Amino acid sequence: MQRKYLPQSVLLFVAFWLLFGRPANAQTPHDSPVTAFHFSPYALQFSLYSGPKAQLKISNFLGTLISGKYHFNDHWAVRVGIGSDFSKTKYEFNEMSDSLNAVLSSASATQQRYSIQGQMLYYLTPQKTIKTYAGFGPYYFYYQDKQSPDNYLVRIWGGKVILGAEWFLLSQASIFLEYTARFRFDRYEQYVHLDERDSQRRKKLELFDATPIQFGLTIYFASKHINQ
Amino acid sequence: MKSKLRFALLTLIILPTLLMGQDSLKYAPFSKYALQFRVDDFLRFSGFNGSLISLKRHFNTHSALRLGVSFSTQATDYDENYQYFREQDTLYTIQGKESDAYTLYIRLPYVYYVHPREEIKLFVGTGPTFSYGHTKFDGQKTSQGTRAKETAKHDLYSLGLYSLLGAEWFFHKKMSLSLEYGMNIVYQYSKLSTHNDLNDSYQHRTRTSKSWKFFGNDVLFGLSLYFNGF
Repeated sequence: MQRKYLPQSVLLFVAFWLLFGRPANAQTPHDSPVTAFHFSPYALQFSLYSGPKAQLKISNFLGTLISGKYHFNDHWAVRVGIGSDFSKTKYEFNEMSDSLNAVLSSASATQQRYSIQGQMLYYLTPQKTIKTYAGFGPYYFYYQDKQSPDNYLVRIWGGKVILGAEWFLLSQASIFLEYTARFRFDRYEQYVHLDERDSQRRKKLELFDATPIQFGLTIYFASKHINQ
Repeated sequence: MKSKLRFALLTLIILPTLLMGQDSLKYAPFSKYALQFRVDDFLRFSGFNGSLISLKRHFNTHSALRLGVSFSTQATDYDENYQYFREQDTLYTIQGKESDAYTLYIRLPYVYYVHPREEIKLFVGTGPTFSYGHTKFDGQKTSQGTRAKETAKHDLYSLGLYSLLGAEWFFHKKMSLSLEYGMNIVYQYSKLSTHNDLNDSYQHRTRTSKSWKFFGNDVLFGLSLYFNGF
């Protein structure tokens, strides 16, 4: 099945590369550039992935609201992703009929989802064409679905260790590929109201696993490039 | 065959850009207007901020106003008469259904380009978002001895604020690609009412909901085509 879609994927990737410019624009093809390379301090990050029919898709990287990176210097950077969804609804029901005057009832529901993650990155080879980096950092995810009196709660926290490589297509745009290993601690809580109050709790600990390889796009800003 | 066709089309689109070179495009000034499209897939587009029109108006290199409008309407009306036999009785049924629906959606963010002279231009923006949806259904059924009528109506209003943060890159002096994160905070009011008549009895129900919502959008991948006037 994957073979069937391979030509299309490759074609789309090549199209993307052609469209987003030429490497000569960003840096010389050799490992010793004519002028020293410096990162711009601010960047937005996006995730690139293959859709169900091998289309090239773009989505958020570390968070649905924003995913950004800040370079302190050419070696050290921090990146942060924030995601959030919140919904609070009040319902009112009203019923009238020839045999019933009025019945009024009300209910409320709250759904909330927050996530935050941050990683410190260290660029091992910032002056090379392929810039390798390593990083680590924590993440936290919170989800609550409360429809009184039932309540469902999920909390996940953990940490990630990253090893990746970045390549500049343009002076302000790069693509990257990275391996990620994570450890996580999950905690689920669920309270369900039946005839009498019932509660269920579950805890799960996953010490270590590897996530799928991340493929992404970084877009850098700010006219002043930082110096080491 | 399909891949070859795609490759040929792709070459036709990209070749002029490559031949032109990008240095001349680095500081491409904004034209007065731009039509904006959302890139859904390879050579498949939709409206960027609205399915009816998505337009951007630049006041200067820093400031612009974007307008996205979606509007759709639908009305159906049909009558159905049939009869069937059960043992020695003949049952007649007459049925009629009528429904109409329309939705309107407007988004009007003000956009500020932080560094418009950069090759890749960072922009931020915010503005109001409004939507209204209405659906109505009328149905009636007359059979021997019984008459039933059902009416359902649903109205949905939404008013809020949309904020965005993105980047735009010109690959041609009149064309650019953009990527943006977006978030919304909206207040939503919904009212659903149903009315049932069965012979001489009736039942009327209403369900209202009031919501506050805060959520992020999917990342928008867009194509803008700039022009100076209509």
